Amino acid sequence: MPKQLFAAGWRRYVLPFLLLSFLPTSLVFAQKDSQDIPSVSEATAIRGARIVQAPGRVIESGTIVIRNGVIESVGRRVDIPYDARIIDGDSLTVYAGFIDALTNVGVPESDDDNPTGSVPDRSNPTFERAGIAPQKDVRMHLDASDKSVASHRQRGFTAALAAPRGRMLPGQTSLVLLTGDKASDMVLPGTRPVLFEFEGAQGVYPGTPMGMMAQFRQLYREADRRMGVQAMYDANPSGLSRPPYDEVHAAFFSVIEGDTPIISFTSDALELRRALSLSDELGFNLMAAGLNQGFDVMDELMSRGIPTIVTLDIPDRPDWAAKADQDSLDQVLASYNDDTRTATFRDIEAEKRNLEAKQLVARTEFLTMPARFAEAGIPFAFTTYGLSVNVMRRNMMEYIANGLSEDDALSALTVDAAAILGLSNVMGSLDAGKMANLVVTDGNYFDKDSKVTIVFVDGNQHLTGDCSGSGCSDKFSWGN
Amino acid sequence: MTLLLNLVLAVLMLLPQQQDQKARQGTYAITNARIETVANGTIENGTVVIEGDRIIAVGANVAIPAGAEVIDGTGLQLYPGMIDSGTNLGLNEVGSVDETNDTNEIGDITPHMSALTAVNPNSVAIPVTRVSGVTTVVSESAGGLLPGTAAVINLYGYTAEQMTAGSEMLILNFPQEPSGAAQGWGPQRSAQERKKGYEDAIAKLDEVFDRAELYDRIMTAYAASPAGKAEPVYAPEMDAIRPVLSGDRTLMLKVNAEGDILKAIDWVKERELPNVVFSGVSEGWRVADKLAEAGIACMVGPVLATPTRSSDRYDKAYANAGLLSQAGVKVAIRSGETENVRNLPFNAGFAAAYGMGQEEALKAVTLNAAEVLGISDDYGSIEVGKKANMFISTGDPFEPSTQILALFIDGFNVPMESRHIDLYREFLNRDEGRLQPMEVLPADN
Repeated sequence: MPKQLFAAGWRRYVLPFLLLSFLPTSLVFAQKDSQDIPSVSEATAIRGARIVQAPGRVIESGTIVIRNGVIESVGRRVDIPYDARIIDGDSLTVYAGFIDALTNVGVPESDDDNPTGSVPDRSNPTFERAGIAPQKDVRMHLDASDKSVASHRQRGFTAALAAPRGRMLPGQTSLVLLTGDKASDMVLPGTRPVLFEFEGAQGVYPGTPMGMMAQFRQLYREADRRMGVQAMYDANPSGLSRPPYDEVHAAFFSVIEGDTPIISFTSDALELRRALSLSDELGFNLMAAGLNQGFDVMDELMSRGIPTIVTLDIPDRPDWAAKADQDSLDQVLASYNDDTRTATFRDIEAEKRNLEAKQLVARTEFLTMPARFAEAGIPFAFTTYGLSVNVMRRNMMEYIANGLSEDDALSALTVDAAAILGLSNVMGSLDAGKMANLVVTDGNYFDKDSKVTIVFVDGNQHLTGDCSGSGCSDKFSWGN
Repeated sequence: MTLLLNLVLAVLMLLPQQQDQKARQGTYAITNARIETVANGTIENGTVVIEGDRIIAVGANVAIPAGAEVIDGTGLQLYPGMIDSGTNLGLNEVGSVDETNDTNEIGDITPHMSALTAVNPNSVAIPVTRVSGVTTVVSESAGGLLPGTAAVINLYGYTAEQMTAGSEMLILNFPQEPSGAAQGWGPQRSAQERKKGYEDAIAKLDEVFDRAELYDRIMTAYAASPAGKAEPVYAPEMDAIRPVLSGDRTLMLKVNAEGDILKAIDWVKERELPNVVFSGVSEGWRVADKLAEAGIACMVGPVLATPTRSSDRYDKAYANAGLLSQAGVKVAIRSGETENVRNLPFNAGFAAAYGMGQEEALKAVTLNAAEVLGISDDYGSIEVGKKANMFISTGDPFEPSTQILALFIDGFNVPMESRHIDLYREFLNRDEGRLQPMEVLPADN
């Protein structure tokens, strides 16, 4: 702005100082993004796109119309409403929005997640210090503006089971949509399992798996007894002492009644078996997430119909294996000797090689697990719990490289995840009447070069679809 | 010279009696004046007849209607009222008093805000402005991407309806590409942050106009056959942009830097916007040929400014309007002022002196401005049938020594009263009781 010569003097000098005092507000306005552009249409049509309504149900060139957060119509020949915004879908593929069946998305880290510090009696710390907070409701801890929400969306996730952060019993999860300006916009009604992990408290009881199992049993049985006492008191309190109350035990009531499942996140077969045995012993409904080495427990999972949620966190590839070609890897795999009782200490090299082979076998077994689940007809969902969502697609591709079909992977991201979380009537496929959760890619999602260009969550468009220049507006590139 | 001085004195002596005089419409004949018609050259010793709000006769030999109030213009000059193509007049009263400042609505996208409804007809700065021969101004809101519509107002009336000159323009603050060092207060942003901010702003601009086009398409389709259709979403912001898409309303695109001007030219072309003028254009001279080629008229100014770059000659801001005009761009001049819109003639005067020439500079504050603003059917020149906006002066209005003796707006003979003249008079005729200096009391009292 050029300075004026003949202009009134005082304003030129006073005004800057006046402006300075308004600065905080003007900065706030400057930060507003395009959400202040008014919406001009309630309907959006993506036409001429490849529409994957559900795994195996594909329209090669069709149109999908969404309005007010609901899929209005989808098909080969659909009349586009006069007031629809039109997105040309040539070269685009539309999928049902993906569902992450367990994640910390939208829950910012906090100092309260992991309380430390000394306590008077290490064998009897407070519940809070021991990481026992089943009453903690994730809905009170959601932040719609947390970066994780956008980065999850950029990978195609539209809904999730969000879990609070913590240790052994971090709290109660909630179904969330990955959209909205505030936490209450995100929350979906539905199942709200209580999360349980074998994550001991630091320096206090319970710090070991045995301690955690004992503590879990104790809490559960105390809660069970308290429910009985409370029922007696409610029926006729005359002459009875007031039953004790605390929110930790109270949080178990609906678990005991069978209304709320426990969702366990385990990182090996032993933990998974422990969780299963707790469920057997105490009789609560279990959802099993994580499932590293879940293949060892496959039969039991299947026979008991446990909802199964497979981690997308895979073991790192050993450095030497990354450099080796497929033939030599096959040779190493074939050379594995599972007879570990015979001492080979005389040949240290051979022992080292056998260990490497063992790692490779375990890793391969791990990576083939989803394929084996699919083969066995066990429906499963995926979880990114404890994992950077950046690597989610790359890791899923490893599963696919190890025998999981693209359709089964898509099922795990959409229709099966919806079924496991009780969302089948609103999510999981692109059918008229369902919630407008859509993922649009510029090609097959399972092709290495494809990008997520647009995501609709509850009808809200995220990402502009403009992928010219430095990549899609979110700067996300495939498989990073 | 003596004659001139006498005239000025005579007018000044008349002032006290005029104090309570109201502006009046009627039949006026201004005779024997040198008439700058702007549209049709100069008429020496001519007569202009005003009846009601219109000019009904202009020429050397014009019959004066019976009953006309005759104003002898001997030795005086008659000009069409000057038009300032960019001010905040009527929207700001006292800069330091927030309650009196109404240029900036909260929000980035408020194209549905109309400056016309916010103009204070009783602003003290309006009579002050008239005194230098300005009859019409563009009053514009500021702040954000689309601050609202600017109003073209005549500087006389009690209500917005009385003041409007019949034209409004949609203001667009074109995003500014960051250059060189960080500017402004507060935490300094890195070059990347500023570049990102700029890219976001351009993307947002495009998104707004994409949505406006969609809105227009939906509304047009609904209006054509509403039967059986769900009622479309009403978005007042987008409704305000529609007439710009069709060309029914002018888009006033505010842009100054060379790079931004080039970008804006491309943007306007891509968007196929039929009716656009640029406002500000302080580096327009650098790309004058491009502007001329694009056929985009420019509201240039403020002229009384320092150059935009330290490497520029001292007079670039003065010469800008002339250089643009010589390149073939239609130029109107704006002061960019609030309480000093009265300096418009001096803005034009500097442009005239630094290469534009007196004639072109005069057009830039009269007929060209009226054409750019879309009000040339009624304003901008002294022609039969046009509204009577004009002033009588003792000479060239671009000269600071020239006095404006009388001024007509829509045929109203508006008295040359203002707060400045009130104060002038007050201090010429001070209260006798206070003429003597007050006794100075000892400091320790």
